[in-house]
Amino acid sequence: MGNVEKVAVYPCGGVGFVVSSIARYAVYLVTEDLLPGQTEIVDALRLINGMQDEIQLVENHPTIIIDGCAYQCGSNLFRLLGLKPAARIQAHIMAKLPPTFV
Amino acid sequence: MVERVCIFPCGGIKKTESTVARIAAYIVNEELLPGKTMILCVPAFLRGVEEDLVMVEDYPTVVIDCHEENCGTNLLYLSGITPAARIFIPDLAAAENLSYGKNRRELDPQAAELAAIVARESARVASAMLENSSYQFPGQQLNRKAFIARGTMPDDPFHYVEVATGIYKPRDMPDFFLEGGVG
Repeated sequence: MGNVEKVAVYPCGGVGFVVSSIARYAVYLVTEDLLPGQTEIVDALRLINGMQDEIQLVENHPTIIIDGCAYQCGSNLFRLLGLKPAARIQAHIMAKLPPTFV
Repeated sequence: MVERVCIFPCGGIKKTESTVARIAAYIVNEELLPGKTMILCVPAFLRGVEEDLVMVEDYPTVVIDCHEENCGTNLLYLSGITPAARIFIPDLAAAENLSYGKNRRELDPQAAELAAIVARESARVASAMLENSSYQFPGQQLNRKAFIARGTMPDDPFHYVEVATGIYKPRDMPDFFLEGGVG
């Protein structure tokens, strides 16, 4: 076991495609059922608004991004903020949608 | 009068009330005013997806804030966009004596009822903009060099004026309800 106490999880959080709802639902499953207390959802709105607890969450813990489509909005938000995710899940690939699905 | 209205549910994910906002936006967009409303997708907006940028520049935006943190309002402020109206869920929840429940995945019955009320009020505002012939929406221009995640935000950046329970208008934006009425 490593020295990571908590992992942050950031789903794309969109509203335009069903796959974004799937990403959001998956994160609720992870944080409430599978790894409660060991994982925490990243809230993009709170992060953008500069709330310190949200900033500390992504600065101090590894983040897994769940991108919903080829726009890769989750990954791009991190790039915009100068952050590097620890891992990325591509939900649309798992859903057997084409890699270019938007 | 405008052709379409942008509905912007706060886009949060941590709080149950953000699910209320999102479901309310789906009700407006799919059931109450289909074809006349668009939903702003925050990640796409931040990503610079053109349709989401045009949405807030060329059409009035009704922002649905789910909590006192005002994340929806503040994102628009950071982006240089003034919303046409704001729906504030805590006001409607208090007025209707409804709770948010505890389920973020699928809403509990009271929260679902609240989402329907938030949708109804959002549609009432959007309908006023769509049908009021004297309503003139001043086009907006995005601040494309916005600084984000800096943690400094005014308490009330748009000087909201309450026009009905849970419904607010920025001080400098045009009235949408007909004079003397509340839609």
